[in-house]
Amino acid sequence: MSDDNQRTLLTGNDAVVEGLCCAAGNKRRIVYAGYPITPASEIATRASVIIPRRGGAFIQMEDEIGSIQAAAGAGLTGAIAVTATSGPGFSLMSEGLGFAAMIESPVVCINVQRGGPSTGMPTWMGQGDMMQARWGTHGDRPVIVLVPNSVQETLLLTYEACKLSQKYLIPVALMLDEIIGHMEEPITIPELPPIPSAPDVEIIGKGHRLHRTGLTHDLEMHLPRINPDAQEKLVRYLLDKIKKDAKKIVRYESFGAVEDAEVIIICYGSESRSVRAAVKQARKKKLKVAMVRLITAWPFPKDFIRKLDKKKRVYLVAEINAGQMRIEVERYIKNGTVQGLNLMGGRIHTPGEILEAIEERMSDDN
Amino acid sequence: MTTDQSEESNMEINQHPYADLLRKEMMPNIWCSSCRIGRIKNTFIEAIQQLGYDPDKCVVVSGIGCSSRIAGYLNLDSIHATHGRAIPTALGVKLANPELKVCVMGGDGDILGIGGNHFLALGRHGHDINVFCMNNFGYSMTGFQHGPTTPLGARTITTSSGSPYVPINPVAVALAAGYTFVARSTSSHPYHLIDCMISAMKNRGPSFIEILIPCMLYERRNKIKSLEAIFLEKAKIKETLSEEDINQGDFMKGISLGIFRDAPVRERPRLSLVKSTKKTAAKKFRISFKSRASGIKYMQIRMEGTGGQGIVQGGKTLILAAMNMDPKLNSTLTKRYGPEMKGGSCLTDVLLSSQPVDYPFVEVPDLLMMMSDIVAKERGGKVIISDKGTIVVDESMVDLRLLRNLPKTVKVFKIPATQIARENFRVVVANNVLMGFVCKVTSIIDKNCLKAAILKAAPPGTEEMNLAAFERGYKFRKS
Repeated sequence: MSDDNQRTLLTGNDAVVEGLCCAAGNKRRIVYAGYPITPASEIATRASVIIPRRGGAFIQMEDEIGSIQAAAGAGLTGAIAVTATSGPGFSLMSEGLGFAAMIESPVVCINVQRGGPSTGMPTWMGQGDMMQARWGTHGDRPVIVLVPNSVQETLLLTYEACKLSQKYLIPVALMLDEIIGHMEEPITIPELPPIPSAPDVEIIGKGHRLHRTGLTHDLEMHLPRINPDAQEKLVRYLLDKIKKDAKKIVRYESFGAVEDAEVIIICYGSESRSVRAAVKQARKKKLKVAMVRLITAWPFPKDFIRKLDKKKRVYLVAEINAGQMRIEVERYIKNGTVQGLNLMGGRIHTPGEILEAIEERMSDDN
Repeated sequence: MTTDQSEESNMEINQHPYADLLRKEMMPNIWCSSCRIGRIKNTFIEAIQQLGYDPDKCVVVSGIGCSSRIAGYLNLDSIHATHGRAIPTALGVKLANPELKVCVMGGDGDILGIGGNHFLALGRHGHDINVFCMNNFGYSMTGFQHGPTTPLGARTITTSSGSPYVPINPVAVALAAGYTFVARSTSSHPYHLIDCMISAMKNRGPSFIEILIPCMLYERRNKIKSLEAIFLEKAKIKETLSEEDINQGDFMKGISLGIFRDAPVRERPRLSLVKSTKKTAAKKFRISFKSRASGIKYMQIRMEGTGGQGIVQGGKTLILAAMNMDPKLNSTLTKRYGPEMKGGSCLTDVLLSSQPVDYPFVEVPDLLMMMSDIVAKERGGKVIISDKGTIVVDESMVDLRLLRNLPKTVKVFKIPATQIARENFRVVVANNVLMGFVCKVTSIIDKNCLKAAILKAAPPGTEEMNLAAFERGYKFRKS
C-alpha cells in the first residue's frame, strides 16, 4: 500500500492481488483457492501473504478442478471468490466455470496466458485461450472476459471483474498474458469503493435454505426441473443477464483517428502496446492508421465494429495465436477486408514488424 | 376439549418431526423402492436434530450420483455440485464462512473414484468437513458400471464376466489420508449410524464415514437375494476395533462396524504473519534524496549477464531509482531468462520515458550493462548498442574482444566488478559494484536516488553490504 501520490513498483501478477483488496474493502472476506502454475504462481505467492493478513482465506488446492470448485462454493457465501491459473489449468477449470455460471456463483478466474497447446511454453507469453474463454464449457453460458494491457489496468480490471461477477452472479475471466503478468511498472493503488455484495437471498448461511444445483432447474427455487421448457427458460435467462446489458459492459479503446483510417489494427493485451508504438510511428509518416484495443474481449464490441464497416478498408487483427479474435471480427465486417497478423506465441510483434505490415497493406491499396 | 385445542393437537399430529428439514416440493424422491439412501437422509436429519444444530447454519454439498441427490431433498442450504467435486466445493464454503457446519454426501464412485484426489487432500488440509460416503459398490445411476469399491469378481455392466480389479478399502484410505474421524456403518444399522454421524460432526477435523448400502442393480446382476440381509447377518458392531477390522469391509467375508479413529485435531503451528523489515532498514540508513524533473525523453537500458549475478535485482534497483528521481517518469521493467535459475542467460530491460511506455522491451539500448558475455555469445557474439550509447562492462567476466568492432561513438567503461565483489564482499553484490560505477561514469541517475533504491531492492539483512559495494564501485579508479 502506498500514499496517495506515491507509486508502487508491481508486476501484473502482484497487481491482481491489490485489485482484489480494493474490491473487498475492509469488511468482505476474500477466498483464494489456487494451484501453482507458471506464469501465474506469483499471484498465489502474494495472495498467500496478503489475504490471510486481511482476515481472508488462502488455500492451495490439490488441482485446478478443486480450485475452481472451491471458488464457486465460496462465491455462494458472499465472499470475493477467486482463482488464478494459466492455460493448462484453465482447460481443467472449464467444467467448473460452467458450474459456477449454472449455480450463479460470482467467481473471478484469472488466466495468465502462456504458449500452448498442452504444456507449450510455460515461461513465454501467448494469447491462445481467447476462444476457450468464450466457448470452453459444454452448453451455453454467459461470459465476461476482460483483457488488460498494463499493470495499472490489471489492478483496475481485477476490481472490475469482481464488480461484474457480483452484479451478474457469473464467473468472470481476467485474461492476462505472461508479459503483463511478469512486467513491472510503477502504479498508484487507488481508493476504490468496496463493491456491493449480492442480496442476502442469494447467499447461503443467511437462513434462506437455498438449493443450488448444476441440473436444469426452475428460476424461483432452483429445484431440478428436467424438461425442455425449464431448459429453455433457464438458459435464456442465464444468457440474457449479459446480453441485455452487453452495451453497458463492453469496453474498448481506440487510438488515432478511426473514422478516416485506411488500416485499422484490432488487438488486445500486451500485443496492443506494440501496436500503439507502431501506429504512432505510422502517423508520423502521415499514414492513415488507427488502432482499436479490446478491453472486454467478451462481450465483443460488435456494434462499434459494425459501425466501422461503413467505410471500405483493411482491418488487421494482431494477436499471438492463429487468428482467434479475427474470426469474431470477420463476423461483423462485410465491406472491408479482414486480415490477421499472427505469431504463435513466445513473443509479441515488435513495433517495426507491425509498421512493416501496415506499409504493406497501404501499398496493396494503391 | 374445545374445538381450538383439538385443531391444534391435530396439527401437531400432522406435522412430521422431520418436516422442517425436508423439501416437500421435491417429493416423491427418485430412489428405487428397495434403496436405502432415503434412510441415510433420515438418519442425518435425526443426527442434526439430536445435536441441536441450527439448520440455517448447516450446509450439505453433494456431487453426482444416486446418493448425491440427498442434497435436493434436504431443506437446508445445499449445493448439488458436479461429479466428484463435492469436497472442494464444500471446502470453499467452509473457508468463506467458518461458522457453517458443512457436510458432504456422496457415493463411492463420486467421492473415491472421480473425486479421489479431493478426498485425499481434505485429510491433509484438515478442515472441519464431514464426508458421508454411501458405498453401494458401483455406479448405480448410469446402470451399474464397476467402481473403485466393486468387489473382485463382481458382475457389473462393464465387467460382465466379473470384475478383475481389486477394490480399494475406503476406511483404510481415510485413515492413511489423515482424517481425524473414521467410521464404518451400514444402512441396516440406523441407530449405530446416527451415533457415528453425531460423533463425526462433533469432531473438529475432517471426518469420514463409510456407509454400506444395498443396491438392487448389484443384487440382480450378482444373483444376491438381499444385501440388507447380508449386512444384518455379517456385520458386527464393535466397541474397540483392531487393525484387522479395517480390512473387514468386504461383506462376503465379514463386516466390522464402528469408529476406527476419533482423534483431536492436530495442533497447527500458529500463523505468524510475515512482517516487513524494509521500513526499519530504511530508517537505519537514512538516505534522503531530492526528486526533480529528469528531462529524460526516452531511454532504453539493458542489464545482461548470467543467472545468479543479480541481473533482475539490478534492473529493479534502476527502475526504483528512476522512480525516486522523477516520480512523473514512466517506466517498465521486463526480464528474460532461460529455464534454469542459475547459470543461464538472463537480461532485464528498463525503459524510461516521459510518455507512457508502449513496447516494453529494449530494441537498441542506450545504456548496456554487461555483467557477463553469455547473452552476447548466444546472439552469435553480437553486441547491440545504439550509436551514441554507453556500455559498462564487467571486465572480469566479459571477453573484451566482443567489443572490438563497435562504432567509435560508443563509450565503453570497464570495471572488474565481480572480482572486486569476490575480494571484498560476496559475489552476489557484483551488480551493485557495477551500479556504483555506472552512477559515476554516466549522469543518468542521481547517486542518493540509487542508494535509496538499493536499500529497497536488497534482500533484508544485506543492505549494508550492498551499499558498501555500491560505494566501492562509485569510487573505483583504474590503477
